[in-house]
Amino acid sequence: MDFKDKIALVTGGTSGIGKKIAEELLKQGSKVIINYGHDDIQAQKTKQELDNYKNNIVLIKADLSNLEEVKLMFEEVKNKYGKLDYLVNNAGTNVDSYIENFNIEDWNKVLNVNLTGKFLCTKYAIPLLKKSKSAAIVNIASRLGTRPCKEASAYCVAESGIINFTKCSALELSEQGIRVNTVSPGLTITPLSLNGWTEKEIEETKNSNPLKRLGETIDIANAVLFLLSDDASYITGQNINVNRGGLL
Amino acid sequence: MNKVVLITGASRGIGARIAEIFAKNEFSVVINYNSSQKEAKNIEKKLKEKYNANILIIKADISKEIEVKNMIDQTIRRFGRIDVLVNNAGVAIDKDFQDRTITDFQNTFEVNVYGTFLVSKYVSTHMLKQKKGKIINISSTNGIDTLYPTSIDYDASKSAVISLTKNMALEFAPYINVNAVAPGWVNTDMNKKLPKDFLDLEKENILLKRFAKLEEIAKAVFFLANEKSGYINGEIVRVDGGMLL
Repeated sequence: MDFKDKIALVTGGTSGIGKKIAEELLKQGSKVIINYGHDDIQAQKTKQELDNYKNNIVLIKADLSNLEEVKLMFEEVKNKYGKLDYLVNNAGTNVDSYIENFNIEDWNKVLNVNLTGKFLCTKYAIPLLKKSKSAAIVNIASRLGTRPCKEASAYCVAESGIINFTKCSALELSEQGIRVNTVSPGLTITPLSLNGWTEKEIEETKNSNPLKRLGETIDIANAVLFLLSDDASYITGQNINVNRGGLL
Repeated sequence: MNKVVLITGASRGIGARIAEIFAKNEFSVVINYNSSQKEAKNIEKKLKEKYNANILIIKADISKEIEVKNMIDQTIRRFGRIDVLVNNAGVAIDKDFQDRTITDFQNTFEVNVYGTFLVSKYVSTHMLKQKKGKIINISSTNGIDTLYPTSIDYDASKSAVISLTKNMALEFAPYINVNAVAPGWVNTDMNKKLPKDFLDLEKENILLKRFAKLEEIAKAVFFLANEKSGYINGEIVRVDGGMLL
């Protein structure tokens, strides 16, 4: 796996899974553009935590559901690096609601950030990815992209859309030498996923799980780096579930 | 102390390349073969010379329980443990549907399905004692959706391997991760003998417009065998160059 001096962009890279992916890429010698949506304090905190790699980090704030902001972000990448080797479309959000009570604004927000945001980032990344000798995209979806879940229909639909968007991207971009794959985490320990869970609920979920543990962000990051690397040179259009097995 | 991998059908083709990647990564490698003794000895020599690896070659017909048992016993006597099992051995004979016989079906299932089950059963006993292990089954996209009536028994056997993978992942949890790699078309010596216009047509259906190099399958297997995939379980990883149908 050779990530040295490669240029990577990770969306939602200041917390949870995105932060771990950014960190692992930096450890491997990549230069990483870390995008975040709105939390400036968290962004600065992340920058400090990754201070060892400060010469290889660029922080860019952009609301991924906003076309102009995404366009500007990739213009900044073009001006600084002239190309992109890896795009990791990780950013995502969630609003829990039963269908009957779902506000249209919340529904649209989840779809716009999680799904449309990945389309916009891919769209504006393509001209930069074409300049790479080994370009790859990884979209982060979810186990919930392939199964239903109560109170999470917007999220399930967005994640499901990402999985097929990956296949469409792979179809269109293979001639450009760009591979595109999905990583679908199961329940992973992040601020977003365990928001509102009690200790008891977490313990119960761990114990009912074939591997007797929840996923950690490093599990996801490892799968992402594998798919970005030349070790996965014959893998495109696929979805890898990082989800401990089991019936659900 | 080196980790130990047992690979069935590893005297040539994909299995041999898998053996090489493990040897390169400082595993002790047990190479199982059935009839290709000359190739097995060649691989043994190559890996010992190139990587200074510990290699043991064992002849066993994996469809015969007694031979499987002896193979595992011999492995444990030599190395004391088995950390990774790669169920790679498989047979495939193309025939027109009308010529396909029940004997063909039996032979194919005995190696591809029963063999995978038997070797996994005997190896898992040791992995469960170790409270740690990885099993990677080699399936095929033919077991999913790249279907050919001329390999109807092979395709069915590779579907069965997918089912075994998921059930074994459940059975051996939380100690053994069981996953499968489903290759599409691979550049093996066997495939190179097929008619050129057939091969060209097949390549058109692949996004990458080429067949896989052996190492591209081996690398996916190795990823599923190492610590980095510890949370991946019961999963089928398609390595097919984008056969998006």
